[in-house]
Formats: sequence, structure tokens, C-alpha cells
Amino acid sequence: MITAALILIVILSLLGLPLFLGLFGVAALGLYSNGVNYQTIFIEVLRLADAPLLLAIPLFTFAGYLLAHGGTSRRVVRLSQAFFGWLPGGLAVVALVTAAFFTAITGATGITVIALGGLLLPALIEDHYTEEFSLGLVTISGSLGLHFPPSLPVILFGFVSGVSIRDLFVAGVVPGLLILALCSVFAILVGKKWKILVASRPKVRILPALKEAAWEIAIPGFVLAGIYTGIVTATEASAFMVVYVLIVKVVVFKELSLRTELVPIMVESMKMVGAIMVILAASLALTNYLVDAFVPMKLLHLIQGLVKTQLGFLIALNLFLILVGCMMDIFSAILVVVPLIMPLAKQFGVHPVHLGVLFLANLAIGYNTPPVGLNLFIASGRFEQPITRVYRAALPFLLVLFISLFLITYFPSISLIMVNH
Amino acid sequence: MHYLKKIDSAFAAVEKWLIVVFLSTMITFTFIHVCLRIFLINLNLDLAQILLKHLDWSQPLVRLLVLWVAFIGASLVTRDNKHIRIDLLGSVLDGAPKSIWSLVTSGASLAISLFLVKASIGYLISEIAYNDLLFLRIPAWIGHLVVPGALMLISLRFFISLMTALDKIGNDVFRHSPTQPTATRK
Amino acid sequence: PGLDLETSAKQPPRYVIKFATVAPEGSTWMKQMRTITQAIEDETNGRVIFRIYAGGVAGDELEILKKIRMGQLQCAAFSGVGFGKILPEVRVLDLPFLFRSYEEVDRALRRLKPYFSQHFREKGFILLNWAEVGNVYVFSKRPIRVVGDFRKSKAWSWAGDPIAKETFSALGVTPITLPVTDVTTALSTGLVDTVYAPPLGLLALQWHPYVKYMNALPFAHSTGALLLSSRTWEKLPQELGKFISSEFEKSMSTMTSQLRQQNEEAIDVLKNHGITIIPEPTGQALQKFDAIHRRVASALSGKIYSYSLLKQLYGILGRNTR
Ligand code: NA
Ligand code: NA
Repeated sequence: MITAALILIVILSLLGLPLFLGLFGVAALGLYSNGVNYQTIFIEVLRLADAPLLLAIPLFTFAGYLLAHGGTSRRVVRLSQAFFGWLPGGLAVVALVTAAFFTAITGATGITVIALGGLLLPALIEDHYTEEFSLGLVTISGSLGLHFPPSLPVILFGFVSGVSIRDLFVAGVVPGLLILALCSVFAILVGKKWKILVASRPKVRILPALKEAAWEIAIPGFVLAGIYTGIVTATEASAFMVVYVLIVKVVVFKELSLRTELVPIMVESMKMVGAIMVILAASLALTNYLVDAFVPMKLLHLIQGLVKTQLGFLIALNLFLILVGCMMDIFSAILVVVPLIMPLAKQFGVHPVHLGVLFLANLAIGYNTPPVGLNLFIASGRFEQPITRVYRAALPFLLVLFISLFLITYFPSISLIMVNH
Repeated sequence: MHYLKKIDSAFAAVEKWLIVVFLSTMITFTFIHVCLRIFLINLNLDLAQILLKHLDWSQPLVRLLVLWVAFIGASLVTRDNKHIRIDLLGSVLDGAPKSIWSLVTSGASLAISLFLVKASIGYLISEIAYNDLLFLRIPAWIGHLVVPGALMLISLRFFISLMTALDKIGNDVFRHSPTQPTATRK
Repeated sequence: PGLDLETSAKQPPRYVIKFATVAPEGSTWMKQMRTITQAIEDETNGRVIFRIYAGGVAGDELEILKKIRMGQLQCAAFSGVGFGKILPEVRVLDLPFLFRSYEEVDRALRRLKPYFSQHFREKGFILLNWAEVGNVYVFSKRPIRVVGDFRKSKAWSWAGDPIAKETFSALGVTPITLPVTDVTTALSTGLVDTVYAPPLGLLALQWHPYVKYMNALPFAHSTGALLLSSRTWEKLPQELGKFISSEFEKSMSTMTSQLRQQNEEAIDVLKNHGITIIPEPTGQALQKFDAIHRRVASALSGKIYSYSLLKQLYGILGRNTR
């Protein structure tokens, strides 16, 4: 009976039931079948009201919606043409690098898509990339930069596993750059194939373009500087960004009316926040069930029985983590899964630092894999695109990410080159 | 139906203003809090210290407002029918089958959200029983009232889309039936 | 009753106790915990089974408490955060600069156990035993030798802890309240330069690379306890309940002494990492710390705990009560 209801909900979820309802339904049914009071799902829901980090989501989202309004994308495109006009795909590279920094700061990947997507997507389209390519790029851009300091998932991994956080950051530099580089090369190749910019555009002078875009192009710099110098935390930086963007839009460029335009932008951006955060709440509720029933542990035992060699372990780990990335958010996944795999990794002779790097790379990719991937949902919600279209758009980039994951997993020296002194 | 839609838009108007007020509050208090702290650390202003002490409820308030904004936002998204979904059938179906399918999903959505309303009320009742308090001694159940509240509105909106889907199916059948005179249609 | 015995002879009922803690899996504390619970399972022939959720996978202490209330969990290790919601008056033991030796800690915990057991029972919990977190010390980038040194520090504090709030206020500091996960970044960027933690915790959280000094005077002694929900306790047959609580009674003292030893060893590790240990202040400097204790203790009495409880504690420790 319960199994039948579960299957029904899963099928409905694939065929049009709002995802958060599907997740809540599975969580409640699972808990019920375990003899647990299903009202406990609200303990998880109310975590939304007590996680300081989450404040960054509404604030960065609002700032992102403000940036998407008016001429910001045009100004940023002009500047990137001035600098990278000679390089086909220059703007795409700029977008990828910016997104990587932003994820490092905000820690959770989804925020990047929300905050920068509104700026980058129209800019890329204006730069003559196809809509689909641009959508794919912006979607997966949320997965880049997770290895760079002060990324919170790295710190949490170090805390849970006991691996040196410093070593993890040092080790993450080369793999992080590798992922970034592969995506950039892909974007440049595509740009070359489509002859973007080089032929069609007049040359843009650097100085006027810089002067025009300076206010906005400085934002990632301000945020980075504020955090790295210890003036603010990442969450607090989001409030500063909102105030700064408001000033730039209202006072400097006078392209936002406080009377008529501000309220709709607030409401629209918070609808987006609501759509995402109920999914987050529901996935926390689902995690409660999975933990209660020791599901990750059982899955791992299953794998353990099948695997005998280090190579086999790494392959199984990749598959397992992508599966985990489908169901849990990155912070829950670290808390729940890391203690399980640490002893196994030791048994198979995997270096703990290498494990950390590939673990995070893996989870970051899990965000972009259909059917369940938070980045995909966020992009679908943010840009009002059907999820199937987002799947298709992300696919080529996903292949690039898988190549980088393959390299990081099976060539440990990529991670360990900077650590083994 | 007509009344339901009126009630729905009245709620939506209130929700929009709540979002504006709450979001502004979140930004303002976070911004002030950080500024005061920067003043305190770098300039050692006594005034900043006093103000910070009196504002120590502001951070928990802001965190609570994240919950409110999220759930009100989710309720408004339901109204626009823009919840995130893996709609594998959406691009395939068209016409009457599509209406029937949206009837099915709306019905299932209504059922699950009603279940969530009931469960969340049960949860809040246990919070009342344990007399849990938030910052400034606010009872927890008041702070968390937005969860059942928003879920009720979400249910209402799924109910409306269920009725709309029914209407549409009725119309489809109606239009295809030649015996009915078009004049009586509204 | 005869029928009960008969059914239990055929198929002894299994009592599943779900236990949660924020203590990390793999720590000595957890290893010890697993040994105890395994012993209980073996001795009762599997009639009592523990399911363990370590490392915070079931949530922080407040979420664990809520899950116990809703019956999802039955047993947990709590410290100040959880006590604040269950039985705030236990936190009298967490007052800053209160205990002067482990002997004092043990004496106070032993003598007050009946009192607190009864009060926990009124709140729906059985106090299986104390399970201390240990001495908490102040670690800083610049040396903190005397009370006055705090004023110049950028101190981190838990948000929402009334004792920490009152203590820092008495020390003349407005602390920077951040979630624990943000502290590593905050230390490395210089947003904070002073933290407090047990030495083992400092190592586990990896804050040690960012601090240079540790003051050997314990900032506070953090008390913890193993609590079982009364609802579960009442369902257990009496002899099983007695057996479980005596098992925990027996092994917790071993656990405590092991933990203390480990914290001492952790201090040695910190020394090897180049952290300078500032010796405990004496004479007038120590009196100033005691004055801070008195101010905090009197400010919070009547709010978190009664004055009579404080007086009783002072009596046990042989302090004057003025
Ligand atoms: Na990124
Ligand atoms: Na996925």
C-alpha cells in the first residue's frame, strides 16, 4: 500500500507534480512506514528559519534581479568586447570565471545561478550565443569554484572528516582551475565555430567601456575584498550588495524607479526564492527520512559488497555520489556521507585529501544531472524555461564536467601535486 | 468560483505587501548590524556597542523572516502556476488530454498540500504544548504561523486550478458537442 | 502478567532506542559510546537495540530535542545548548571561571545529581549520567593574560547563549556572533581573533592554525548529560531500565577520565603546533577573573537558576556566599 503510494508520487513527480510536493510526500510516507511521526518533517522545514547562511539566498537573489533590470548586461558585454574582442567566446570565459569566484564566496552553488544568471544570460545572448548554449553555461556555472577559498563546503568537509582544511584548499586549486579551464576551452571552441564577435562587431575602445561598466564590474571585487579582508561574512556581504546595487541603479544610472519598479522586482524575486526554498525544505525533510532509515549506509554496504579494488571503489564512489547529489543538498550530504566513506577510502588506499577534492567535484556535478538537480531547477525557475529544455541545454557542459571529474578521480596527482611537498 | 478568485486576489495583494515589508526589514537590519559592528571594531565607538546590544534580537528576526518570505513567495508562485516541476508530459500533451492531465496533477497537489496543512497544524500545536519561545519571548507557534498559513493558501490555489481544469474540460466537451446552442455560453 | 511472560519467552520484544549526538563519529567518545551500547545489546540478548546517529546527522541539539519530543528519537547527549531548552538551571554549572579543579567538578556533579535527576524527570527525561564536554579555554591571536586584555579582542561567541552574552558583557566585550561553521573563515580573515573551545574541539574544528595563545585558566567547564526520554523509560521493563542505567553509570566515569586525558593530550598537540600556553593567573589577576564570575553569577541568578541553587553549589565548593 505504502509502496504503491510511493511509486505513484514518484511517477506524478516526473510527469508534472510540483517537485516540492513530491519530495514532501515521499519523506512523509517514508517516515510513516518507519513508524515515525511524519510531523517531524516540519522540524526540518523550520531549519529555514534558523540557518544564518540561508539569508544569503533572498538577498543575493534580489540583488541579481536588480542587476538584470536595465543596462547592466549591455555595459558588461561592451567591456568584455573591449578586452576580449579578439578572443572568440571571451564573454563566456568572463562569465565562467566570475561565477567560479561567486560560488567560492557564497559557498552554496545555487546562489550563483540566481545572483549572476540575471546578468549573464542576457549578456551572453546579446553577444550572439544561442539561447540554449547560454542557458546551459549559466546553469552549470553554479558548479564551478566550489574548491576555492573560502568555500564553505570545503570547510565543512574538513571539519567532518578531520582532513586539514588548508590542505583541502591548496589541493583544490589545480582541480578547480582544471574544471574552469575545460569549460572555458569548450566555450572558446564553440565561439570559434560560431564566429562569435570576431567578424561581426566593431572594435570597442577600452577606456570608455571601462568607465561605463566600472560600477557594476566592481561588484564581485568588492564582495571578494570585503570577505577576504575580514570586514564581512559572505552572508553579510549580500546585504551590502543589495544596498550598493540599489544606489548604482537609482542614483548613478537612474534606470530604476523606486516608485513603480522596485516593488514588482521585490515580489518577483521573492517568488523565485519561495519556489527554491520550499524545494530545499522538502529535500531536508527527505534527508531526515533517509538518515532515519540509514539509507545512505545501506547503499554503501551494497556497493562495498561488490567492490574489491581501488579502481572499482572509485568508480562506485562516483556513481554513489552522483546518486546522493540527486537527493540531498551539499551540506547534508557532507554530514551524512563523509563519515561513512572515510574508513572505506582508507581501506582502499585513497588519499584523504584526494577524496575530499573528488567528493566535492562529484557533488557539484550532481547538481546538474537530471532528473533531480538543484541547479537545473533553479535555472528553470529563474529563467522561466521548461525543465526539459534546461536538461538539454546543460548536457554538453555536463559532458565537459564529467571529463574533468574523470581526470580528477583517476589522476590523484592533479589534487596532490600541491600538497605533497 | 468567482468568489474564490476574489478571495485569492485579496490574499495575494496582502502577501505582496508582506514580502515588500519583510524583505526591506531583512536588508535594513542586516545592513545596520554589519555597519555597527564595523564601527565598533575599527573605531571602538561606544554608541555602536550600546546599539548592538539593544539590537541583539535583529539577527534571529531576520532569520525568521527568511522563512516567512520563502513561504509567502511559494504561495504566490502557486498562484502563477510556476512551481518548479519535472514536466516530462507537458511538452508532449496538447488539447483535451493536457487539460485532463492538469486536472490529475492539480488534484494530487491539492491532496498533498491539504495533508501538509493538517500535519503542520499538528506540529504547531505541539509547539504550543511545549511553550517554545523565540527571541524577545515570542511564542514559537506565532513565529511559525506562516507555514500552515501559506500551505492553506497554496491549497486554495491548487483548488482553483483544479476547478479551472474542470471548467476547461467541460468547455472542450461543450464546444465539440453540436447540439448545444452557443448563445447560452458565457 | 503471566501472559506477558509467555509471549516474551516466545519472541522477546525488541526495544529500539535511537540515540543522537553532535559528537563526531570516530571520536574516542563515540567509540566508547558504541562499546557501551554494544555491551547492552549483547547482555540483553538483543532485547534492547541502539541505533546511533552521530556527528550531527540528526540535526543540532535543538533539533534533536524536538525529534525526541515527537518520538522520532529516544536518547541523546546534550550540552548547554540543549539544556537551555530542557532545564536551563543546569547551566549554573557552565558559569565562567567557576571550578578550580576536576575534583571540584566531580564533587559538584555527584552531589547535585539527585537534585537535577528529579528536575529532569519533571521535564520528561531520565538523567542516565553526566557526559561532560570538558574544560573550555580561551584561544587568541594576541595574548590574553588579564581581564583587561579582553577589551582589545575581537571575540567570537555563540549566538543566543545567555551565559556567554553576560560573560562578554562583564568582560567589556561586544562579541561577534557567528555560526560555528563560519568561524574558520572569520579567524583566517581576521574578522575574529579570539575564540573559546575545548582543546579537542579546537583541533577538530581546525581553528588551531589561526591562534597563537591559550590561557591555561579554564574559561568555563562545559557540562553535558546523557538523557533518555521518560516515555521510553516507562515502556522498558523495570529490570531492563535498571540494567541500562547501571551500565551507563559504570562506564561514564571511565569515559570522563579518558576525555580529560585526551583534552590534556590535545593541549600538548597545540603546544607542538606552536601555541603558547599562558600560565594560569595568580593573586590579584586571578581575583579579577573571580570578580567576573561573581558578576555573571549574580546577574543570571533568578533568571536562569535560582539563587538558592547557586548558594547550594557554592556550599558544595566551600565558597563564601556573601
Ligand atoms: Na560558480
Ligand atoms: Na542530480
